[in-house]
Amino acid sequence: MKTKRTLRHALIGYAFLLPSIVGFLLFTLGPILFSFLISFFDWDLFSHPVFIDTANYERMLSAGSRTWDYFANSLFFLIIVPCQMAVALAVAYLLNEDLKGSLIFKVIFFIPVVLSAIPVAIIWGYLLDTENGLLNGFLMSLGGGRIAWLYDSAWIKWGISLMAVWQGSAFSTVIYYAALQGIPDQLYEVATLDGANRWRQFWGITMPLLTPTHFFLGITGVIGALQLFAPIYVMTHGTAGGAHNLIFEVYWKAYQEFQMGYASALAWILFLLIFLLSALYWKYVRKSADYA
Amino acid sequence: MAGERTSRTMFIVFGLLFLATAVLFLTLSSETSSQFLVFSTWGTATEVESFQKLIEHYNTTRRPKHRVKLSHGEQNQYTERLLVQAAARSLPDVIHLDRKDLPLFVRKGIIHDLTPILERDSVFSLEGFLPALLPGCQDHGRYYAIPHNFSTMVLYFNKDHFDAEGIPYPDSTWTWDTLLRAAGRLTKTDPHGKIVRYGCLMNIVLTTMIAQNGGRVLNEACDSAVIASPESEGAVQWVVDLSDRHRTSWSILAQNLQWDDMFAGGRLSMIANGRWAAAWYMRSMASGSVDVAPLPRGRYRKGAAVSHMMAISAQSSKQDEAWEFLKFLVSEEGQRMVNRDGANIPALRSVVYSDEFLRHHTTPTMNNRVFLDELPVSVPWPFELGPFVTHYTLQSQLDLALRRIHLGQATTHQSLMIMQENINAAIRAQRHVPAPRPFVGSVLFIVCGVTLALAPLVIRFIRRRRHPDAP
Amino acid sequence: MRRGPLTTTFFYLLLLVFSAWYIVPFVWALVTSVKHPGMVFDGRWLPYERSRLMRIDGQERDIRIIEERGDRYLVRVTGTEELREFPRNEVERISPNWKNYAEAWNIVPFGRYFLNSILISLCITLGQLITCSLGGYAFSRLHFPGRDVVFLAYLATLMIPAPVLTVPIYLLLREYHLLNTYQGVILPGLFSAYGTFLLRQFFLTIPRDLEDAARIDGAGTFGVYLRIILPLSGPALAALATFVFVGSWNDFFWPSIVLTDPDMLSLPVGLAHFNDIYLFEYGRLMAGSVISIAPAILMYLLFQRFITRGVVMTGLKG
Repeated sequence: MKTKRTLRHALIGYAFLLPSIVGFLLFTLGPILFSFLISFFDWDLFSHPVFIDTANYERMLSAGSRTWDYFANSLFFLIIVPCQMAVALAVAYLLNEDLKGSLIFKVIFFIPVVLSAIPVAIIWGYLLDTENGLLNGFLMSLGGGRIAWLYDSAWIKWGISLMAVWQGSAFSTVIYYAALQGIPDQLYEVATLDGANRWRQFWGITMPLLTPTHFFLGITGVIGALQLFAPIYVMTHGTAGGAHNLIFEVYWKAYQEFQMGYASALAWILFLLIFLLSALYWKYVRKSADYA
Repeated sequence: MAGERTSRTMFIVFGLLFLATAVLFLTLSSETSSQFLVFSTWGTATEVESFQKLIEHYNTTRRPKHRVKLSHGEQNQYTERLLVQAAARSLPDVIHLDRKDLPLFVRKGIIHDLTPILERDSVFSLEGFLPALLPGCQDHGRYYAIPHNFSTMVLYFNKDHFDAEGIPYPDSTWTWDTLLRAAGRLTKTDPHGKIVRYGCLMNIVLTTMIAQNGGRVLNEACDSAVIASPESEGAVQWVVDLSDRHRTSWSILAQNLQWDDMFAGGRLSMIANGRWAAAWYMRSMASGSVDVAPLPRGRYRKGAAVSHMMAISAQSSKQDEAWEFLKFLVSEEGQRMVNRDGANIPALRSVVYSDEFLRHHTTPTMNNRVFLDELPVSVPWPFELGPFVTHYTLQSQLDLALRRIHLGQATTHQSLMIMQENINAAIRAQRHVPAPRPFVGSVLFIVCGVTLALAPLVIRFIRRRRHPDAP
Repeated sequence: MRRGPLTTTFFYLLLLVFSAWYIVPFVWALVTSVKHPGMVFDGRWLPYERSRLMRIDGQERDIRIIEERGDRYLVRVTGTEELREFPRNEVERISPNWKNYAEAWNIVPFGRYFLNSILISLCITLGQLITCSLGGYAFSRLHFPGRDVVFLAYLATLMIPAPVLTVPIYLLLREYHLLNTYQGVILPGLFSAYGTFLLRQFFLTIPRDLEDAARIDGAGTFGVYLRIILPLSGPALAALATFVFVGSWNDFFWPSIVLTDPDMLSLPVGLAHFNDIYLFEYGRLMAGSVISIAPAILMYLLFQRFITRGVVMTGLKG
């Protein structure tokens, strides 16, 4: 009896899952396994793939390759995550105060969510321009000098991070705002009666209650930051220089130099990195959530 | 009750939308490419429109067995897309090609050897084409493409600025020194010391200047980078000095997209650019302000040319029909149909030496002959790629090298050495023939990975067996 | 919490600073989109146009601008050697160049691309709503062997970098002759691990009592799905629909690989293909970008409520 029921349940379950899982197998899992397989081959798309065992991985980790630099660059872009969360939280908090004219502010802050990455990258490409860009104009009016935001390897990561925070904080603002709206006012009223000021209320009530939101935004932020590609490609016209991160290298090796095997191996290392960081973040936030 | 009604309405609406979209989705017509002769090209909207008209004309007047259809690729990804299509065996039949890609495509077996077809076709002849364009269509002596059009780099200059300074217009006697002196006089600064008018911009033809000084980016066989030579360094240094030392130009650290706008706005007096800019400059500037001159000469006289050609895919099953269409494309009639915007120069002598080009409606007052005179002494622009490297590899290495130099992070010599090393590494990787290896590391790899992934599940399973009552 | 006037002013100031930071790129893009050719990079915040005629000695003469000298222009009367200086504000005046928009609109067939984008995005959105809700229901309410493992696999795939997946999927589409077809663009987008994840989280919050009541009344599994789960998920479905629609609307990478027929391109791809907008006239490039952004902004304004409401339901439970 039990097995019959389990079988029936299995049939029903997988029937519901069918449309989703067919797509999953065909367009996600299949290609992923394919790319994992290919990472053990040397394949330039034209000739037959040649099995080279772990040579791609060895090459990646060898002394001459710049994989560690690209790795470091990818890690640098993680700075975007706390920045965009902090900005978003601040803006959402202000919006939550429901000042007069909030409606207009809301429109301004939420719109970048729907913007396509490419026009935004084009616009920012000009803003960060060395000669005539707005940012340099602003700096010069403060008495500073010009910085080649997109060409100087020392500064390019900062320039691109600035743009990424600008665009990414909009989505985080929407989420934080909705979360803040969900916190009942009574909690604050009770705290005020107890004599707590705004600052204490923020750290004692707001922040702990936002833990699930921090968690969600943190994970999606990390995943997004490690895969930051379009802005870099568009703004530097394909020559990333100091912003050359792992995913850019995956793209470059795959589509410019047609070394699909090596690119797949790199992609898998990147995936491991994302996975590990997400798992760490998960563990850390879980702990503090339990504590709260 | 109201909730139920809304949910039911919602359900019905969704259901109808779903049905409608499903019907739409299944009936969307998408004609399979086997019914057509596919012709692929890049191009602006105007160029695409011209090609569409040409194709319509061809389809209606020649009534071929397979009608011709256009496939448009975005210019920056054109080569990469063709390579992916080649790998997936979905190549178009007739391919519009840039000269720089020919050796790579021949090496990968993408395009068809046209020499036997040329020998068989007794009517069609290559004699009508400008002879300077023919070597670019060949690889090891065999023809793989037919010339279509080309563009040469010239020196555009603002006549009003020259008149105001009393400097004679540039001509074929100009050398690098003459240019530098003129640029110095043409550069203007405002009372605060900020430059309001730059004298010249030569960044676009940097690789041509290298050739003019006797240097090369890649060697003759295009299998090794030789850019770290004294001749190349001399040329690069000269261009770098224009901005960094003499302050008559910008470095590449300024967005290169601004240069045209600056020239049209009178904030730049001379710019070395290709034919594609001519029509826009004429339109955007006061009439008669702009004219062209040959590039100044260095140690040698060298020009720069981009040339485009038509090829037939090696995978095509309709090669005879493709050849017929190709002949139409490069014929006088076909050339006239796509030459309306004047962005390129037709490859046929009969068209190019007539008023059709010499008095082209987009540049009537320009000395258009200059474009033609540059061709016989031209080197490929921007690079002669050969079969091993892609354009982006060389371009990005060059950009990185120039950035290092302008930012003072390396001397010209060091920077070009690094560039040479990187390009050689890329070429080595391309030429590397992989040697198969037996399954050793990968098996260990997979076994370890699977063990690590399954370990938590196994442990949990064992724990549950030991303590069946624990939660 | 009551606010003192000092705090209120401080908050307003902060809001203004942040708004400035957000809005400056837009303003710059809008201003640049109406600048005249040759005047785009003059470093000013207003669109200027230089006149080619000046009144000299009572007559309108054709002039050429030779030099900028501080706040004056040096001009030459065409056809003569006569040089004159004029103050800047006599030679140039503020004048927006609306032609940029007209030209951008004419160059890129925005209408057709708009329709293509709507078609593609609509199909993908509806498809995802169906597959993700079915899948989310299965993962949240049904029990079958391997459920959690498969779900974990779904989650893990969220972290795979996209460039690596393109070639295998491209080869797959090629096998089934789906290249350069609408179906080829839509099909890979019909399934989404993210959407399934989102809806699963939401379905987990629907109380079981409702489901049990329906079963007692004789509803089967599908009946529960149709009559209980779906109607209660309105906000979540709307939110997912909005995100998916916007995402596929803006998607550039995949359509640019699959579609080559100029008539079938979606909006972002069509915009990239037509290099006229990128050639020389940066005012026109900005105008084209503004035009391409406008529908997204309009859609946002229409669906704003859904976004915030749906996010309250789903985003937090993550």
